[in-house]
Amino acid sequence: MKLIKKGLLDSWQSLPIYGLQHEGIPPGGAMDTFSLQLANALVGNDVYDKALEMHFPAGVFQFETSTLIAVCGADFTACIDNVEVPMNQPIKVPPGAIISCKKPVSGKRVYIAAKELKDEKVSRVKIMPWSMGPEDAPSQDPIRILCGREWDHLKACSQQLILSKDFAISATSNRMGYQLVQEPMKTVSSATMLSSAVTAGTIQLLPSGQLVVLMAAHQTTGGYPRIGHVISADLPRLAQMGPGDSVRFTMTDAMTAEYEWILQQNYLQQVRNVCALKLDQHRIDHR
Amino acid sequence: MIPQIYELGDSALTIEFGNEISEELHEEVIKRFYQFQSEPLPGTLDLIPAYASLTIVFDLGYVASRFQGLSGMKTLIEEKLAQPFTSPAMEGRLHEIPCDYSGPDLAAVASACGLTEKEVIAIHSEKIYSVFFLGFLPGFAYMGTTDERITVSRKDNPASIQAGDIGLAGNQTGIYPCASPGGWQIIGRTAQIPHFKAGDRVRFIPITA
Repeated sequence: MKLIKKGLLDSWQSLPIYGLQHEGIPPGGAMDTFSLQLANALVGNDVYDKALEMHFPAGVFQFETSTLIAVCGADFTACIDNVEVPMNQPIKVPPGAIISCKKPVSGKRVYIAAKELKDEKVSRVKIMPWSMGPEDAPSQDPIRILCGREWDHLKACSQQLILSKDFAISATSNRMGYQLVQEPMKTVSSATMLSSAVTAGTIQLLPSGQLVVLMAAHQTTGGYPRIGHVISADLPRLAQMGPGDSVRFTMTDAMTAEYEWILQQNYLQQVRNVCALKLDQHRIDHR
Repeated sequence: MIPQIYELGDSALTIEFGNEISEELHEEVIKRFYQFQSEPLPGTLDLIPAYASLTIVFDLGYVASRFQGLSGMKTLIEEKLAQPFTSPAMEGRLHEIPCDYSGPDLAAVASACGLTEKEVIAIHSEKIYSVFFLGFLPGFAYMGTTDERITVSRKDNPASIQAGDIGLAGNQTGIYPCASPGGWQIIGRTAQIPHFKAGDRVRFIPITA
């Protein structure tokens, strides 16, 4: 793929890479790991392969070889040679084709997975006749959180506020974290804590009383009170929100967090299996 | 003291050995870090030592399907903590870091502490600090402990900080290895950022730019 025009924060992202956090090197990775994995599955890529993560306005790219692609995550009206193409569906593109995003419709980050078709020469855009992934509009349910170690530092009224009010995602939010806007939290004690580990989804309380949710590019440790944690299964949904959106939280438990995560992982594995089969079948049929 | 183990979200457990910055707790953290590194628990993705805690990040799907999730891992951690473990001897290097004490927050720190700027500089540069652990940013070394006369709180809102900026927060000091938002009070800067390891020692040498 050749870059024609740079977008806002285009980057190649994979699943997070763990094992170096003791050096202060965070796992990083894609913001919406669900859409990343879905896009990779649709084109038959490996689980750990990279895909293009783009924000709006997105970059414009030209394919240099025959390629199988899939567009997942945010709906930015992806077009190939100025013709809109469907999301969550594998698409064969010929060399020279240009992919661009015309208009943001929903979500904040689009993922484009690509796999070079080495033994096939594609002469025109061809949309594969199968689609995978969520069929319904993204859920509007509150984002589920677990109690953080310092949840009890908050006064009851602030705990209640977190679980009942909408929080606006501030314009200063980025891949490191989302700053949330609400009336300042009230604390029982102002005891400072020692810096210790944080993870993606950790909700920290800033001394100003505002909350920040750590996202994919979070640091490894932090010294602000950890009042809660977004469950892993809901991080992809949060990653599709951004400045201009507001978020609501609800408390859940570890069992639910585990169950939802396993459900999501099983679903993705199923999608990978089905996609691999369909791609194999397609290759045999078109030999 | 019996270490406390608590959940850090749905995929990590933190072992808290205590609540203060001390050489003794630091040694315990590093010892346990080596223990869990040399005999990792199943499903371990990362080990994150801090001042008085060690966090183990797990592959949630793996530990949930095979070990009753984090509660199962908690039991395994307790068993491991009950086992004696002697870590290899640590030998820290001494880094001498030239510091230009002209940070944007030096005046604010001095006035908050009831000191002159010169006194803050003298107090900060007279002590040899321990590198407790690396975290927050790649290569960011948490050092301490600073003299109680220059103990300051973090900023209410993170500010934009440059690579090489030297900051204070509580009784900690540290050097930002890259530009980042940060809440520490910036008192100086350096052009020299060594590759720190936990256990190293550091002295700041005042220079004029």
